[in-house]
Amino acid sequence: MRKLKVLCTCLLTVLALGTALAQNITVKGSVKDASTGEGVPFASIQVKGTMTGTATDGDGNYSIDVPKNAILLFSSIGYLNQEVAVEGRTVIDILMATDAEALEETVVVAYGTAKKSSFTGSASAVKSETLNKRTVSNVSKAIEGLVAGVTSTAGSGQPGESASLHIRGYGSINASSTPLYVVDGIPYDGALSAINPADIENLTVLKDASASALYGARGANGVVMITTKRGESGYANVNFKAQFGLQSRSLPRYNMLSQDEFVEITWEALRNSSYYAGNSMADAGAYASSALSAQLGGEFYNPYKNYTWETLVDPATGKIKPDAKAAWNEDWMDILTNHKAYRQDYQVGITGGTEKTRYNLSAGYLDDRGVLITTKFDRYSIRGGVDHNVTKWMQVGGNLSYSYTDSNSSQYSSTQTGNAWYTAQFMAPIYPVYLKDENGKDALDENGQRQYDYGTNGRPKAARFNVVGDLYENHYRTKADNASIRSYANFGGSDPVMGALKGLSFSVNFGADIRNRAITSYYNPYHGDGASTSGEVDKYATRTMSYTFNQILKYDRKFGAHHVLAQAGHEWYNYNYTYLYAERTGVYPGIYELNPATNVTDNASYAYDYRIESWFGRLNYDFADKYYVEATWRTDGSSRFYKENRWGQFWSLGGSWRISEEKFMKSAQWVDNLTLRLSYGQLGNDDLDSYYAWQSFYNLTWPNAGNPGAIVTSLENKNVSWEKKSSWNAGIEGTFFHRFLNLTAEFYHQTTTDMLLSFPMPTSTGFNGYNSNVGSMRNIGFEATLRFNWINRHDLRFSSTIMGYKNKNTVLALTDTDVITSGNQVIKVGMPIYTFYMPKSAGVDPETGKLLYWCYEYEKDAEGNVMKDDKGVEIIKPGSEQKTDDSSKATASKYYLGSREPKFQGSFGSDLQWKNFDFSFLTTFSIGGLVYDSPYASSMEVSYAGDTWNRDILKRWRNPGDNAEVPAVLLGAGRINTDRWLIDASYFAIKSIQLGYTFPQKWTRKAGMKSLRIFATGDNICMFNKLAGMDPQYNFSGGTSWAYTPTRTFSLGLDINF
Amino acid sequence: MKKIIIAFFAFCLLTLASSCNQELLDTVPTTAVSGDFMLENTEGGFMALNGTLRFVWRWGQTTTGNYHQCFGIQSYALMGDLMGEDMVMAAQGSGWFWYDYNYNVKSRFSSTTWRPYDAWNYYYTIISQVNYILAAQETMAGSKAEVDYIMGNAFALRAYAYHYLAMTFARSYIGHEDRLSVPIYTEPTSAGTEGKPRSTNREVYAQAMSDINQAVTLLNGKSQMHVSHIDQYVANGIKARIALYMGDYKTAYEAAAVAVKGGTIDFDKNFHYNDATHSSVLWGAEVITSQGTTNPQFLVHMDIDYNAGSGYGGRARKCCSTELYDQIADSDLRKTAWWSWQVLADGKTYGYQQWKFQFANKAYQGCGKVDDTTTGADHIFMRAAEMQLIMAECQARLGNEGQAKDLLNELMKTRQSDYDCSGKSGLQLGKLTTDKTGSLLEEIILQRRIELWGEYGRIYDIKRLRQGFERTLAMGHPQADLNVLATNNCHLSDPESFDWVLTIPQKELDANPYMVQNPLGSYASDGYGDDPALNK
Repeated sequence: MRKLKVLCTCLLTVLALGTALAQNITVKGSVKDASTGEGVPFASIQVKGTMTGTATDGDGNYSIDVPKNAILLFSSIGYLNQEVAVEGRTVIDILMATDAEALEETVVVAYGTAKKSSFTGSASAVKSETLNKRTVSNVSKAIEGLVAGVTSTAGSGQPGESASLHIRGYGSINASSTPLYVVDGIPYDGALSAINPADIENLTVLKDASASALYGARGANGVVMITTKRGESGYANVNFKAQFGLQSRSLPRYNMLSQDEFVEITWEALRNSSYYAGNSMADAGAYASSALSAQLGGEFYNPYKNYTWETLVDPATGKIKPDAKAAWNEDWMDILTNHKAYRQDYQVGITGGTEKTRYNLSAGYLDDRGVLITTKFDRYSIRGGVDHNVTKWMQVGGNLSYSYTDSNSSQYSSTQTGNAWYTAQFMAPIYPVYLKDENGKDALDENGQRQYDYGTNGRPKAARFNVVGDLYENHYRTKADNASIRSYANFGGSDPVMGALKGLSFSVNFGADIRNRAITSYYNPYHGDGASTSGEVDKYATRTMSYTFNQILKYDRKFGAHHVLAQAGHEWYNYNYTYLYAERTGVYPGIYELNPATNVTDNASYAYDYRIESWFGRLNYDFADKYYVEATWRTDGSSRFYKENRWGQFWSLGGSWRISEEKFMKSAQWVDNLTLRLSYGQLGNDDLDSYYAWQSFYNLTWPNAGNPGAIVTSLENKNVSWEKKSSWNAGIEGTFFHRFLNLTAEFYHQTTTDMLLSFPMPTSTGFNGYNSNVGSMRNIGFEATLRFNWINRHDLRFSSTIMGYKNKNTVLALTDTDVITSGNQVIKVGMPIYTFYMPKSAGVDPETGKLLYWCYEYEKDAEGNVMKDDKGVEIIKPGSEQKTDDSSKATASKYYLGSREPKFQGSFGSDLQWKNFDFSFLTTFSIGGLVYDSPYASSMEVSYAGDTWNRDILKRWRNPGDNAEVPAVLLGAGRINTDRWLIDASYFAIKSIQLGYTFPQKWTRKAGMKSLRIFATGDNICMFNKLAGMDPQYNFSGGTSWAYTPTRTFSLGLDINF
Repeated sequence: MKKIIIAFFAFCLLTLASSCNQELLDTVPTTAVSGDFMLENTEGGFMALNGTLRFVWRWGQTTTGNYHQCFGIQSYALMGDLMGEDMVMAAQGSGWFWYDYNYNVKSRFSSTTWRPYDAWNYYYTIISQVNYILAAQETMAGSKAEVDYIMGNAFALRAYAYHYLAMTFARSYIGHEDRLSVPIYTEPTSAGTEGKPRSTNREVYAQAMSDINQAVTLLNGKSQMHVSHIDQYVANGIKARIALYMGDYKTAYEAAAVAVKGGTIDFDKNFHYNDATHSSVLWGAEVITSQGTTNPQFLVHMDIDYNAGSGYGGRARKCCSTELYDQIADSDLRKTAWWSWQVLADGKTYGYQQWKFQFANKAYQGCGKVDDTTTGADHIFMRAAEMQLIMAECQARLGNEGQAKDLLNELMKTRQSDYDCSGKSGLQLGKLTTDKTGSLLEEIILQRRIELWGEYGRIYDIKRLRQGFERTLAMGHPQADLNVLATNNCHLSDPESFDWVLTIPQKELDANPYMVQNPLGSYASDGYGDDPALNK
């Protein structure tokens, strides 16, 4: 752009100088930007009606000889033209107002691009500069806080893993709620981790029907459009970027008991169990002392070598003897943490081209080590693209990318014993990581090395496992080849060579994503899950291949103030997935291959096919850059549905009005630009968990010894069809006070109908349900983004962006029941999805230490049926609420307690540029909502011997008369889950801080560089929330798990352009 | 210009003509075939039958968690044994079965990972699978013998499932004939099939009896094609179990008398219940390598040699209660072959470690190592000795004490050479299983408890015998278990208690408006979980 500007102004200057000048007066002055007050360099000044003219210098000053009565025409790219009559003046200073439209970004929309001002839908674009401020290996983790209306999970800390996104709330229940990813115009089926974030030029989130209707089939949950960098004509630009950082946990650990506290609490739990069984406190104490050894796994695991378990605790106080000394105190989580988890990221890219051919090439290498030992993610990526104008009416181009990713992770999750995040976090602190001898010293092997303790000497938790040792000795590696092709050919266009057909074009696009994964899983033969089978090797080979092929006819032409765009197209989408699996046991230690393993124990293969055919059209009309209307239509046939219900019709209508262009607004000088938008449309969703949702099948994977076998696994419903989402969007977008303030505010109302649900059937029919289109749901929301350009001077720029959004989800209709229960949560008509429905605790009985619950009775009518209020909520009989310690009554007395949905969420960030320094930060926040923290629950009500407690257990009831927050500690107490585990999900997080310094050009020029910038960033720095250890962003439904903790990165980098 | 236009439209037409064949949108999976097609002939019929039988013993198919305690028939037998008094679970271990043992599962009915959902889903999945097969009885192409064989198996499986459902989700048949049992489905399920109300025990058992009679007729004279299949002996064995539970001793005797011919009843001290081809086995499952498993199977829960004592069998030892053990004669070969005194790692003993059930692929007993858990780990569902015991019990109850004693003596002679029950007489049983009467019936039941320990589900017997029982520290039950039982206020001494009646899972209650929950505690109350039959 700038090059073009320079070119133009030079030409004008030459023209101006070549004109013989009449003997007139000399006018001098400066041309300044109206909003910033800075000089406008190379602005052109022309005498109206002549070829006479000049240009401003680098500081915006000019001098020109003109007739006294001349009219001067000031123009510069990006500014509105001005005409000024000289009227004999010799000094004329001009303030030029920016041309808002000219400065506006183009947004990437379905099957094309559009100027943002003309766009009738709702879309938010994020540029590469903003994305690149985040140190992420997966682009999905960079979107949080940048786009209003997008809610993000934190994503696993496993390097390379994705975060999940929801655009404008839950769109569905059983079908997918995740947005469609489109890369360079074609829906993307590759892995997000395969995309190098540095290759991304622009990321646009399409939020409403008007924006995403042309992705009708799969656009219901919004669309994330990723555009990769393309070449531009001009000199070749070579960029090199390097970044090196260190990673650590971004969330603190749960506060767990110390070794001494753990023993005391265990003793007390044993005592209480006997006390509750009817024994006196004294007898119960004696029982606790005698039972401690069996509970904790015998003397082998007693770290207090100067006492036996039986004598360790003083029954009078419940404290361990003061002179008891622990021989070891090892911290499993600490030993499992890679304290040197580094991350290095390098990329090199070249862009350039001529008027006819433009090219880009880039390569990257990422080496990302996880904070859990042995875990890592490597990516080698390469991308190249060419755009070529064959003739004036024919353009072809495309890009190819390939990346190889290689990751090590752990094969375990959730409450599997092998899952380090479960077993190590809740391993009682008395158990050592390293094997001890009878004196409590490290038992060394013949090489003098410490050995892992596999708990085979009676450790009640995770016997035969040592999650540290197993991480080293087991192996879980995924290697993936990811290739993407995007290509196009375009015929016709608006070049005059098209003659009468000017504006008509036809294009074909072909894009494919191919992903091959080879996964090796190896379980060592000595310990852990492999021990019983002398080890196991599993091999998986999966292949995903999808392609999209479309043909689009387009007519795009301006007739005076009228602009018409019409488009029609056809598209074919084909997805194929194949899976191959083999398993052998009896491994040769350390060889991760099948051949040396002795027993073939399993093998399997299968394939999935999924296809969509679509026809679509679009009609745009706008008049005088003031009024815009757009209509789209699309029909899709999905192979997921029975042929008679296969085709869905989707459409949208949208309009926008640039009210600031109206005459009556001209007087409002403080309004730079103001646009109103309104759209309505209907989109579809076929993304059920099954590719063959309507069919009834005998599943063939049930052989009985040598006899082939099959069972019926699904019920047929030919009526299953598209889930539909209708959405209204009303928006206002404006720039005010000479670009001091940018505002975008939008209101939406979305209704999902024909929602795909498993229509519940009684388990006694052999099935729990069948796929059916029955439910409906509503999301209403408001989002606003405010950007303040506090200071915009040449050497000091400072701006802040604040965005906030609120979504309100309401379930409108379900199946013939009005509630679907899933664990502690319900999907209930009239309430937000996944509302917690649980018993409520009512404190602790000071006399008994038992947990009290609220219980109630329902108001019943004469026939004994429970009465409901007008919202369908059961009515509690007034006065029937009381406290009880009877868990059966409490189980029957559940309360609706709220959901994960935040009351309000948003982000705040600023950018500051001072001379050669730049500084930016981004924070996010979320207010309200609840999380059911199961790791916390299971560490407050310990069920398994050898698990430890959260420190909050110290607030427990101990003796009759205590007013305690936490009931008496028990092992496997059988207390029911209540609102005790619902934790306020509000948080404030510092997502990133970046400080950079760009070396002055006069230095870098000498070194042959165009620019050199060094920077330091902190990413995912910290989060403040209610409960230490809890990840409030674990998922959207309000749960948590024993999962890989999110990580923070502090890094240094440099960015060079040649 | 003209050329451009021609080229332009030619290209448009060419690519638009590539619009695709509509049939490509009809996709089908690679691991399944359409339901209509499967049952057209006996070839598919056998596949459906074998698939159902695999479901009968395949682990982890019925719940969304806690898979390791869900492995079909043997898991419900182990659960039933652990709910009684003869089997001690010395420690919690990983927790599998511990909650059954402690009567701590009924309140977990709203979860799909616990026993109420698991058992309900298990039996009703079997029923729905065989209902599809049975619906094709008239239309299935193939020889009559093959069709009959398939249908006989299906009828027998349905009878089996209703019998076990009623034993699990209702109180005893005897004394509660007209109380609520479970809903009956005999038609194939389709999308939208509605739930049915609970039938009474009498109705459920009428269905079970009718089904098993059909099975016996259809299977008569046909040889067993695989040990997992139901032949005439197994069908009669199931019939004998059902009739015995109903108190129809004549029918039970007659059926057992046929069934017993399907296997041998002599004692083989080297048989460790890991080989379904053993001559004493009527019905079992053959486990081949690719279908075997490492953890979630019966023997892993039983054999302490799995993983050197750190497997489930070692950490949650299954022991014989001292009360039962002490009643075994010292000359009884089973006493030493099946149990031994063991000092555990913590220096304590909780009872008598079992050796009855062991993996085949290990060097020797007590070696601490199992070489391979995926073979030599067959499942065993029915043995001839059980039939002999049923015959003896029924003869005694029918007044033929002489024949009863002969039958018992015949069984016992290879187990205890000096055995003689001829001095015993009478049918009295104590109010509690620990109250001794010295009757012949008590002796037969005692031998049943010893012989079938670990394989039949003691609680099902306690129910039908209308007795109560108790657990004590002296019997070997751990204090931790007694503490939970006391805290949970169980009434195991009362045969009218609902403690051993599982709760109906929430999923069923949610989708079946006719469903009525069982009491959550020991007794019905007017609030939640009432048995409305009590209010009639």
